[in-house]
Amino acid sequence: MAAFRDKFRLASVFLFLAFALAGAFGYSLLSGDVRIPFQEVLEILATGPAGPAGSQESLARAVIWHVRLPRALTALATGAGLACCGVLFQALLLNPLAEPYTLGVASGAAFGAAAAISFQLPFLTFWAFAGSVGALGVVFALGGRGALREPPRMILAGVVVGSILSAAIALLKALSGQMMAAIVLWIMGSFAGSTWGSTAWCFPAAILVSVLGFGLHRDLDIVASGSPAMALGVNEPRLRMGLLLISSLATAVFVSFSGVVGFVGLVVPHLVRILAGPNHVRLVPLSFLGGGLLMLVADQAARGLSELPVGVITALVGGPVFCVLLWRRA
Amino acid sequence: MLRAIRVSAGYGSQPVLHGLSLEIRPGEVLALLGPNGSGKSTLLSALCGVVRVLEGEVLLEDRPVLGMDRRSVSRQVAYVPQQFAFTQGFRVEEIVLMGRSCWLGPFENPGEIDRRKVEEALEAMELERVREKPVTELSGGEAQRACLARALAQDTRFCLFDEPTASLDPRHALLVMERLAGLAQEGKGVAVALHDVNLAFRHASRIAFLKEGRLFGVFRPSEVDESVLESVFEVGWRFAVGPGLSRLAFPA
Repeated sequence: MAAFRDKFRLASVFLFLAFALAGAFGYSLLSGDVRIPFQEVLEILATGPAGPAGSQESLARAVIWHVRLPRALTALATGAGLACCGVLFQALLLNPLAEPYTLGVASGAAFGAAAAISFQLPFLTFWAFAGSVGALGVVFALGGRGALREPPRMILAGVVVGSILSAAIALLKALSGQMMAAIVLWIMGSFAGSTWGSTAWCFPAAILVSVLGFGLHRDLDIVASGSPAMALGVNEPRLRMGLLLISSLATAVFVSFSGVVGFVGLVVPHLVRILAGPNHVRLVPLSFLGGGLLMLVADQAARGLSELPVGVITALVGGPVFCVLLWRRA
Repeated sequence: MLRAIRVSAGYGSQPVLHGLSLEIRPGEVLALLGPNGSGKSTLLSALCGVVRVLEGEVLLEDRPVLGMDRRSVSRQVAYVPQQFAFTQGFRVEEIVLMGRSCWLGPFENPGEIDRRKVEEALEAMELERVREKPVTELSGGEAQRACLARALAQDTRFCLFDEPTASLDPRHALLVMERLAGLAQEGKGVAVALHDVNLAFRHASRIAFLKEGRLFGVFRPSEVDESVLESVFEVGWRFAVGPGLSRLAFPA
């Protein structure tokens, strides 16, 4: 009976998230300054970016294919990917406060972007990515080989590197004069500049981390449960090294295109854990759906509020939901 | 056979074990006894490849454990460490099922055999009543039995247990020791680190005494006398005859 109730609850959560995600995705294609009826959106999607042979490109088609669709897909992929990365980080670092930004990736990206904006360098995304990878390299080098057996050492290295970079960002802001607003806005995150280029990077990154997390769900369960992983056939240091590196690089991709959108990677895994338990076979796909949903809703709200930073919205939308669940569980 | 050959092992660069050689044979319960810090836990960890061997080697059926894939080692050697701290609320049956993980591929679901092994292990450790309970809500003894059940479900040829009765009441301590003896009767090699000399007398085929990271000696239970125990533990011992003419040892 308990098993049936458990499966029913899981199926309900899955279906709710899947339908809500599909609904939020559809709504993000429908809504905006240019009003495009539902039927026309479907027709535009069905006939492709070029439209039927011989037809001229319409404003509606351009808006759907070049603005709304890449933006919605990038937001979905970023939310889903950050949530899955959060699941992996919390399991591998054995720390409920771990998130995709724990190893200094976000600070590195923010520093790279702030430097590029301050010095008016081209290819902002490249500099953000370079900053992320550089920070990650320093954290891994600081932690050393021993850190793979001692997660707190790795977290500490991430915190130290993040703090130094935050100070450097503050310095850049102070020295950048008129560019300060641009730096602050970039850091707080936005999907306003999303293109098919950002979708092409973010979607595979999100798929990669979620497939890895799902495929290795048993190993992640063993590590996260506090069981002796090595004795149960899991090469823990290798798993930690591989997955932290891959998910940090994926996070670097997300923040390089969309800025530092907080909250999703930390709270969505906890939220899903409350609803569906600690098993990664459930946690990974449900976090994928939940993260994508929260980010789409947050981006939709950001669009409706004169492009407010999306990180502010994720916290404002997700925070109360998390509080309610936590309160009900208590 | 699982053999340690002149093994030095430890944590960091400081060895805890110094050139220790020992073998675990199929069909026996080998008890490891010795004072705190004598290297019992380090030896068990080294035998399953969890602790890096600094010198010497560990051979599993004549193959060095060091070069073997972790999954292959875990299919042949189960290990239950002394300390356990469950950090998330997995259910007891899920924890026990983790013992079958080394037998499953990444996308493979547990099959009939896996479920049967889990049921047998839960039954053997009397955990059916709490099978759906989160492990974080178990008592210390129940959590220890969940760890032991996980190792039983692993169904390996060699089983290494580090103080498996430390958190158990007398009835469950006997239950566990009898199950370990049962494993030996099934042809498996069992090594168990203990502090209770009398449990070792009652259930072990051989007793290996460790002192300061070195092997003091290996004895049959009947060969152990006051002088052996006194030399190892540095305290006087007396023997008495217990029920069924079994020998009982007491620190004097």
